[in-house]
Amino acid sequence: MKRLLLIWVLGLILPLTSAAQNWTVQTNFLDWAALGTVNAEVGVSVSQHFSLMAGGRYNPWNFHTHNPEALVQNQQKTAYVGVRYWPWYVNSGFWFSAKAQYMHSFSNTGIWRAALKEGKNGFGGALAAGYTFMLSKHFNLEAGIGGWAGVFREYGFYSSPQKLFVREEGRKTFIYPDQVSLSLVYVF
Amino acid sequence: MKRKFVFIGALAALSALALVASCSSQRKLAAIKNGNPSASLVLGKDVYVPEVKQAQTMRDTLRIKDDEGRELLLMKAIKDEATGAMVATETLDAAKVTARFRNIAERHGKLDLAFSIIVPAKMQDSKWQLRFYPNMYLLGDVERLDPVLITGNAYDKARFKGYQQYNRLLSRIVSDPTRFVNVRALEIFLKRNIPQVYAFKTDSSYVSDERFYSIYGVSEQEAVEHYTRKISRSINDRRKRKLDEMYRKYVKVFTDNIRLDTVMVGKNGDFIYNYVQTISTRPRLRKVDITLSGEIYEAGDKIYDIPESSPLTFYISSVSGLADQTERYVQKVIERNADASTTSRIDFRLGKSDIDLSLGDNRRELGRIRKILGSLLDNETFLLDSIIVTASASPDGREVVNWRLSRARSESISRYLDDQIHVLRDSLDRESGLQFDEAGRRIRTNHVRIPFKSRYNGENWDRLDFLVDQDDYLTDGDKSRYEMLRRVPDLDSRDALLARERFYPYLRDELYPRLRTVAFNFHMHRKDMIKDTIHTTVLDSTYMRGVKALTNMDYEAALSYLQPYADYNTAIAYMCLDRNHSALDILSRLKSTTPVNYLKAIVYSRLGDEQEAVRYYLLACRQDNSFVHRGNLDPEIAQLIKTYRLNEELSEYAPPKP
Repeated sequence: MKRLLLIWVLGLILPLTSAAQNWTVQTNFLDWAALGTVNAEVGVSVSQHFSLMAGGRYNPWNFHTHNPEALVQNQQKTAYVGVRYWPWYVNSGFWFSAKAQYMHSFSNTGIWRAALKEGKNGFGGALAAGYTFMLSKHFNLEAGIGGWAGVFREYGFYSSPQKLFVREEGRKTFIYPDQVSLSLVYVF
Repeated sequence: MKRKFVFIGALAALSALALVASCSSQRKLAAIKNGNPSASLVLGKDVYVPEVKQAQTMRDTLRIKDDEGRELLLMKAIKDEATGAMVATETLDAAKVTARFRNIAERHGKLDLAFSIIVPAKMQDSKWQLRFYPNMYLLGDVERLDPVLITGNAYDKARFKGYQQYNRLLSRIVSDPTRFVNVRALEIFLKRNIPQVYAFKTDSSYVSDERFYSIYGVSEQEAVEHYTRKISRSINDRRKRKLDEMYRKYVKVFTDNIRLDTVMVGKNGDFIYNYVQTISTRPRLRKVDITLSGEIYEAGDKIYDIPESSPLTFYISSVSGLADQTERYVQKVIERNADASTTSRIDFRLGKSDIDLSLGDNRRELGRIRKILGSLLDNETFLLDSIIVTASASPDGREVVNWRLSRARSESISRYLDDQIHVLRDSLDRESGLQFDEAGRRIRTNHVRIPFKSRYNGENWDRLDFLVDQDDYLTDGDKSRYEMLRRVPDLDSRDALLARERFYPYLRDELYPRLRTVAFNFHMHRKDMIKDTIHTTVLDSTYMRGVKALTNMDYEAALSYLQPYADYNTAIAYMCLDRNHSALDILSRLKSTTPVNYLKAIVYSRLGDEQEAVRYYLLACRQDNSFVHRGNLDPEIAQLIKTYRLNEELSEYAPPKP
C-alpha cells in the first residue's frame, strides 16, 4: 500500500517540476466503470518512439445487492511500471507497451453468479497495444487492449462469497486479460 | 400479356433495325474495300493560276489488244459474296478528266498547295468516322498534314457519351494534394511538438526559410507526410496516371492537330473540303507530291485502312528560274612569291643550345614543324626557296651571353631541320617510286639545297612588354613599376633591378619561358613561274556560287554572294526576297533585254503600278513570244492577263499551237 501511494504521489508531483510535453497523466474510464476502480498512470517520454510509465489501480469498495448476503466487489491494489513504443511519435498514434505488474491483492465476486476469487502477491508481465487520438493540444483519448501473465502466491476460487465451497486454493500461475482501456490523457 | 407482346414486338423491330443498319454498314465497307466508292484528291481552284490540264482518263473499262490482235473490252467487276461469280460493279462512275499536276508559283519563300478532298456520299455512314490524312512528299521526305475528320451523327453521339464518362472520372480526381492531409491531427501535432511552426500560421508578417524541429528532431515536412492519407493519395495518383488511358478508352478521339472535324447530320451528298497548305520553300525544292490515305473508325475502333491514292503533283515555278546561268569570269593577278610562317616554343637547358627532344614539349613542337616542312616540300604549286629561323632569349642572364646563346640555338635548330629535310625528301622519293633511264640506270632526283638563314634577336623585350600588358595576374602597380624600369637603357642593369621587385618570381617563372621562342619563315615561289605577277582570267567562283544558290532557292545565301555585283541575277535575288525597290533600282540601270523587261513587269505589278507592268510585259512578249506562256506561271502577270484580258492582245504574239 505504501509503495502504491509513493507512485501515486510521484505521479502527481513530477509533472509539475519538469518540461512540458514530456509528461502525461491518464485515467481509464473502463476501470472506473468496473465498480469504481480508482486508477491513474503517469508517463514520461524519453525519445521520439519511447515513453516510460508507472501507474496503479485501487478498489476498496463493497457493493450490496437486494440480497444482503450477496456481496458484489472488484477489489484490488495493483501497481505497474513499463515502457511504451510509439511507431510514429510519443503520445500520438499507435503504441505497444510492456510492463511489470504487481498485484498486492484482489478479490472479486460475480455479479450474476455467486462466486469469489481472491489473490494476493501476484507478480507478472503485461503486454498491450492500442491507439491514441489527439483531441487537442493537451488531451488525448486512448484505447488499448492487453493481457498479463504471472503467478499468485496465494489464490482462492470459491463458489460463494462466504467461501462455502472451495474450488481452488493455493499458488497459481495465470494468463489474464489485463488492460482493456479507454483512457483520457492529459499531456503537459 | 398483351403488353408483353408489344414489348417483344418493339424489341424485335429495334433489333431488325439495328441489323439492317449493321448490314448496310457492312455492305458499304465491302464496297469501299473493292474500291468503289473511294475518296479522291483533286486540284483546288486557284484564282491566279489557270489549271494546266493533262488528260488522264480514269476508266472503268479498259480496251486491250491481245496477242492475236483482237480487241478486248475489260470491265471493272467485283466478286459477288453470295454466288462467287464476278459481276459488274453496281454503279460506274463516269470517266473523269482530272489534272494530276499543276504549276504553282513560289512567292516570298512560301508555296500555297491547294487541293480538294472529295468524299462521296456513299462512303459516309452515321456510325463511322472517316479520317483522311493528306501526305506531302518533298525532297525525299514524307510529312503527314493535319487530317480531315468526317464524323457520322451516331458516332458523334457515342463519342459524347464517352466524354460524359470521362468527365465523371475527372470529377473524382483530386488536384489539390493538401486535401489528403489530416489537417486537424497535423495542427494538434504541430501545436504540441513544433509550436514555432504553428506560430507562423497566425503571423504572416515574417517569413523565414528556417526549418523547425520537434525536441526529438522531427521536422514539419515529416509531420505533414505522416498525417497525409497515403492510401487515398495513391488511389488518386493511380487515377491520374490512368487518365490518358481512360481518355483513350472513353473518348476515343483524335488527339493530334486536326484540320477539320465535321459532324455529318443526315444525307448531305458528296463532301468536298478545299485544303490549302502553305509551306516554306527550301533549297532544291522543285516539286511536291500530295497523296491521300485514311482510316475508317466505328465505335472508336479502326475497321479499315483506306489505301493511299495516286499523287497530285505540284511543280514549283519561281522567279529564280529566270536566273542567267552564263558563266562569269574575272581577271586575277597571281603573285610568284609566297610566304608562310609559324612560331614555336622550343625549350633549351639553361645555358645550352643543343636540342633535347625529351625536354618539355620539344618532341611535339618539332614534330609539328617537321609536318609543315613535309607538306611544303610535297606542295605541287609552290617550291620552297629558303627558311629563316629566328631565335629569341629571355632577359635573365647577361645580355652578351643571351646574344650568343640565341645565335647558337638558332643555328642548332637550322642544322636539325636541315637533317630532317634530307629524311623527308628521301621518304617522298621512295613514295613516288624508283625511276630508271633507258639504259636501266636509276635516275636520282637532284634536289636543290634549301638554304637556312639563322637569325637571333637576343633578349626579346618587346614581347615581354606585350605579355606584361596583357597579363591579368600582375597588378596595375606592378605594371607601372615594370614600365618605369623598362626605361633603364642597360639591359643587364634593367634585369637586375627587375629581380628586386616583388613580382619578379612570377615574371621569371611564367612569362620568361614564353620569350624563348623560335620563329620560322618559309619563303616559296610558284613552280614554272618566272615573272613576279601574272594576269589571268578565272571563273568567278563567288558569283557562280551565288547563281547556284539562286537556282536552288536559297535566296539569302544567293544575295550575300551576288549583292556586290548589282546585276541581273542580283535583281532576281532581291525579287525573290520581296525587296522590289532594290530589284527595280538595278533593273532600271540594265540594258532593256527581254528578261529584264519581264522582270520589270513583275516588279511593277507587285508595286501596284499596273500600267507600267502591262507595258513591260507586252514589250517582253513582243521581243520573245515564249513569255506569253510564262506569264501564266507568275501570279503577278497572270492577274494582269485576267484583269486586262491580255490574251486577246497577246494572241498575235503567241507561238502557234502544235
